[in-house]
Amino acid sequence: VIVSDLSSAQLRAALAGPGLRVRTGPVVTRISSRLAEVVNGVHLHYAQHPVVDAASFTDFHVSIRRPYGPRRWFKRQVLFDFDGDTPFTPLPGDQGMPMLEWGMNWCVSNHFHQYVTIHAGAVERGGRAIIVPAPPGTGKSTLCAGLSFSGWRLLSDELTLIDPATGLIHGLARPIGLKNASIEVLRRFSPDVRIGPTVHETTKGSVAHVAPPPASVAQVDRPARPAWIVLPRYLAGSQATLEPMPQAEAFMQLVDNSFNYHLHGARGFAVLAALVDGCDCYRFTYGDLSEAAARFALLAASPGS
Amino acid sequence: VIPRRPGASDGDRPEYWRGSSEREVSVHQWGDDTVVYVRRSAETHWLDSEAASAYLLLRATPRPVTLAELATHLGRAESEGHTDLSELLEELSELGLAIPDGPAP
Repeated sequence: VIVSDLSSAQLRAALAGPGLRVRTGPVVTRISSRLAEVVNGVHLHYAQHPVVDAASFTDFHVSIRRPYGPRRWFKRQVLFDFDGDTPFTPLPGDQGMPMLEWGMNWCVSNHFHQYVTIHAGAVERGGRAIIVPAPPGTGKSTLCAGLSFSGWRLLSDELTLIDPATGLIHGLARPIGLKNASIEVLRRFSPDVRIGPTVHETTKGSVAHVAPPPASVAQVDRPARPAWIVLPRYLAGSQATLEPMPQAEAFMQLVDNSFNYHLHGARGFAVLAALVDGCDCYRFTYGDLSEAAARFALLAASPGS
Repeated sequence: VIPRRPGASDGDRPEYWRGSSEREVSVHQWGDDTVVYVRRSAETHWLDSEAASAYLLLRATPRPVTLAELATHLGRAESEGHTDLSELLEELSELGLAIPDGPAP
């Protein structure tokens, strides 16, 4: 069963009642909420994801709800619950869906330590994956979104999970978070994208989430071999330029952008070093998403190692 | 600033050094670039080529290495002296990569 198999009433009842257990790659999350924007958001963004029965192991139990007290009604707020705890301060009342997405990212980055987790996007094509590590504001999610709608398979726009035993990337195929001007850029880039409502005045500015391509969700259980590490930089008006980057620098970028490298100790060092051994590493500057997609199509067509 | 005792001195700079072992430090190289993971501090460092070369010599040599041997290994002329080498080794020591093994004889 996938989420879109449920009727609106069934989805609403599951979210308001026992919770909806959704599988995103190796992660099972039980989501609960009575808020209409969250119900609509799950319906849009998780339509193709498998629903897991209550007997299955669930990694995270989360909910988005109104706080108790006056803020339930006046200047409404939303809260993120995780295993019965509320790790974040409340957000304004219309930010339920972004808060769910940010909270689910937080669950994985803080608790899913069987993988080495990098703050990076990842997409795959022809059996080879690009890892795009970068701090916020560098165009990482926009680039991943553009590639995901031009022939690449989305693994994640935010969390790259490396299996320490195999060195392969396990995808999540979750919604892609876009900010500010990137929302319109992607809308113009591909008519196929399904973008949720734009939520304004968040801590990140205006944000909207893009539903992952159905084909990426359908293939989410197929791990991918890392072949390239690309450090992006969006620079308005610039030409798409791919420049080689020393492997040691790429390694340090992975270390700096890892959520849990420090927990893996010497094993984490060995895993990331082996990963970089198998990759070509580049810096990528771009100012136009179509041009960027064309440049990466050439990369995908290059002979594999 | 801690006031120094009258007559106190730092003593002689160490002349003999040895490298932290494979058990203490993981190393990976790409060409001239070397990265290391130091278990005690759980820190990762990208070494420049000279620091890497010095550390790898210390680690590969089963006995303490003198500054003079290190200078030869790094292609330094005798006339250059060993002051900056001492400083390099002290930096490696702070990173947990090198251990002083005795003063100048």
